[in-house]
This record gives sequence, C-alpha cells and structure tokens, in this order.
Amino acid sequence: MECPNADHMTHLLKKEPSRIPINGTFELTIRCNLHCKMCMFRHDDSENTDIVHRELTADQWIKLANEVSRAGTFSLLLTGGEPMLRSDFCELYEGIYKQGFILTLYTNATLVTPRIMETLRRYPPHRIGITIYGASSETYERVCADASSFDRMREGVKQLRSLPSILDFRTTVINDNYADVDAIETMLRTEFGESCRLTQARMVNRSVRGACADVDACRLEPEDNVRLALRRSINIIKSYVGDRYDEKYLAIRLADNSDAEKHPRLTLFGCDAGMDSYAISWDGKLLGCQMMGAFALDVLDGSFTSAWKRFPGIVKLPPLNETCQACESLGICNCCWASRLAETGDLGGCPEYVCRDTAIVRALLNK
Amino acid sequence: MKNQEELTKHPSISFIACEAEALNNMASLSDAELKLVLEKMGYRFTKKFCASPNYLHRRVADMDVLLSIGGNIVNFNGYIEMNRSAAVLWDKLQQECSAADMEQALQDEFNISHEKAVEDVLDFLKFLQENNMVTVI
Repeated sequence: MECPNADHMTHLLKKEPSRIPINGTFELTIRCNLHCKMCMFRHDDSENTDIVHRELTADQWIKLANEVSRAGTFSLLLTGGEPMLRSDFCELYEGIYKQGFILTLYTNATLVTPRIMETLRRYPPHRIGITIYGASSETYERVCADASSFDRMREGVKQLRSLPSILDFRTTVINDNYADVDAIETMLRTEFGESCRLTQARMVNRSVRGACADVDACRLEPEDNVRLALRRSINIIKSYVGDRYDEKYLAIRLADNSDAEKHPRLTLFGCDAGMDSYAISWDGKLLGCQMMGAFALDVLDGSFTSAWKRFPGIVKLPPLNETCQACESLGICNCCWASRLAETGDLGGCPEYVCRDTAIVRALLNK
Repeated sequence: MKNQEELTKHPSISFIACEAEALNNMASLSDAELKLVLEKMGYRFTKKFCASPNYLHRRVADMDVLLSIGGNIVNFNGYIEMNRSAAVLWDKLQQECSAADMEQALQDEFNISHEKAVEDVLDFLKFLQENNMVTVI
C-alpha cells in the first residue's frame, strides 16, 4: 500500500484498510466498429476472431453483475470498445440493469438500432457518455476511418436524446480533429440542444494492454495540448461571465489541495483504483483500472469477491524513478502509475511526453 | 347479540362519544398527536400503502440506498440514502400495508414507544407522498 506521507508512518498497519468495490467498470468488449487512430484499447482486427472467442458471455457478465452488486458495487460503467457491437448487447444490458446500479453507458452512438432503443427505453441508464470525434464526415474519415459513421452518430444521438438519461458528450483531440473542436461544440448546441457540453480528454496516452494504435503518430504536441485546454477553459469562463470577461484579470492557480494533504489516505496506486474502484476486462480480468494491465486476476477463477480480496497482494510497484522523484512539478503532473506504464512500458519510467506538458503548465503557473 | 350474518345483512351505525375538550384542542396538536387522540377515540386508519416500483433498495457499504430506476430518472436521476428505520419501513412497503403495520414494524425492530413510532411513520409517509414514492390504496 502506498501512503503519501509514508515517511511519517511510524508503525505498520495492523489490518488492511477498508476496501469496498463501490465503482465498477465492465469492459464488455474490446472490439469496436470504428478504427480511431488514438484508441488506447482496440486491438488489431486480425485478432477479432480470437477476441470474440475469449470475451465473457452475456450470462457470465450478468452473473458477475450479481456478484459485484452483492460485494457493494453501486456505480457501474458499461464500456468497451463499443458495447453495442455485441450481438447479445440487449440481453446482457437488461440482465445487468436488473441488478440495480447507478448505470453509465459509454458509446460512440453509431450502432443504435430500434431493438437497442427499445431496451434502453425500458431500462434507461442514468447517464450515457457519447464520444464525438469530429463535426464532419471528413473528420470522421480521418480519425475513425469511417466517413459514414458521422451521420450514424448524429442519428444515434438524436435517438438517445429521447431517453430520460443524462447525456455527456466527450471527445479526444488529436491532430486530425484539432481544428474541429469548436465546430463539434457548435454542432452539439445547434443539433442536440443548448445545454450540451463537450468534455475533452486532457491527454492522450499511448495504447495499453495489447492495443494497436500508433498514438505517437497522431496525438497533439504538448504545446498544442495545453493551448487547447487553456483556450477551452477560457471559453467556459466566457460563457459564465459574458461581456465582463477581461483577460487582464485572468490568473492560473493551482486548485487548493490542502484538505487532501492534511488527510493522506492509503492507496494502492495513489488513486481510488483497487481501493473503491476497479475494472473487469473483456476477458474477465480484475484490473485496478482499464489503463493498468500490469496487475490482473481472473475473476472466473473463483469469484469476484475472492479476486477483490487478493488484489492488493499482487500489486508490486517499483520505486519511482529519480527524475520524477526530484521533479518540482510532481504535484501538478498528470502522470500516474498507469500512464507511466503506457508511456514508457515501465511502471517506474519517466514519460517524456507528460514531462513536456507539465513543464508548460508549470511555466503558465509561474507567469 | 346479533349473529354475524345479521350484522352483514343490515347496515349499522356506531356512535363514538368524543371528549369535547380533546376536540377543542385538536388545532394545536401535531399530526402524530392528532392520530393518537383519534385512535383513542376509536377511529381506525384503514388506508394502505405500497412502495413505488420506481425505486430499488440496495445495501451498499453498510448504507441503505434507494436507487431511482426506469423512466423515473426523468423525475429524479440519482439515489436516496436511508437510515435503518427508513429501510425497515421501505421493506415493509414492498407489500401493501397500513400505517399501523409500519408502526408495529418500527416498535418490533427498535423497541420504541407507540407514540414515537406513530410520529416517525407519519413523517416518513409524508415524505414519500410528497415525492411520489408511495401508492395510497
């Protein structure tokens, strides 16, 4: 277990701190109908036959949902790949829904069929996260290698909007859709309602767990990444203050973290992973999170509860590399054990891409 | 003494004497006190209640929560935390029951006075009715 103030610990833990698997992620499949250049999870299509063979069946997912519900899971995210790609999605979804969770469904909205809508109308998820990759067919072609998916997404979103679920729109920005970000926001507001907001992944990491994307070839340079984040933040401020916005009063400050510093908590990875959250991969492995494939236990080999209990015992983290340890920006760095592993192939590695991003943020803070 | 058959054949009216003083004071009584006075006078509360199927009771990390499900999320998209006594009452409401059944359940489970149980059940039912979480039968 890792404690932020480990130096001040003068005694060994007498017992393991309470760990309850409140927040779960079910990665229903790793397959996807889109071929996004920056996807962290999708494998090469040549592996699909094998993947289909190894994916958990609908019955296995439903049984797992029952187990995790009894183990304390309250909030459950169903994601992929693209979950709706599964031919048994409706049966699987209904069976999971009936176990009773605050349910979130992630989708690219391009595979919404009447049958799926019928199921979702009967059992609407509390929240639907829809990923949008561009504001035109051309951008979808560039990012996802499928121009027609743009219109399918728009039609899918129109249908999903008829549900009582909360819709969240998300995007991942790479070189190929960088110019589309404002257009995506405009499209959301004009086509799907003024209240629609777009959230953006702050950083695109290299692919993990055997995924095939060449992220380096398409992701933004750190400078553009920070510029985009800053520009979008300013836009949000403008949307609140309107004409009163004046750039000379703009200041970038670190969020107050003193409360967390005063009350350090015991963790496995420095976050909630493995303490009160987890992911179960498409092939039935218990993971700390979807990004962290280094430590995994088979939930079909026994039970979820037993895997959850054993999980801390398999997590062995190396010492943090000296560069990161000595870095004055460690506190503002977007890095975690999973992203270090994704970026460097080494849990203790120093990810150059993240370092460059953090250095720009540090310079902005120092201004 | 009339037999049961006769009682059911003929309409009958019973007169219950009320204490004038008690009636005069009613305006100042709380709902629970009023219910207790009326019960003493012989009035029987016959309404039955049943929990709305729009909520699902889950026990999560030693907490009892009611999860809003189905089309109900258009009205309320989230969950409600309950203490143990609310959870006992909610479970009781899974089948049609009267306020008296609920009061009895609280008394059995928590060893509280009848007066306290009446007050708690009234408050609970008021909350449920205000939030469309219970059907009155």
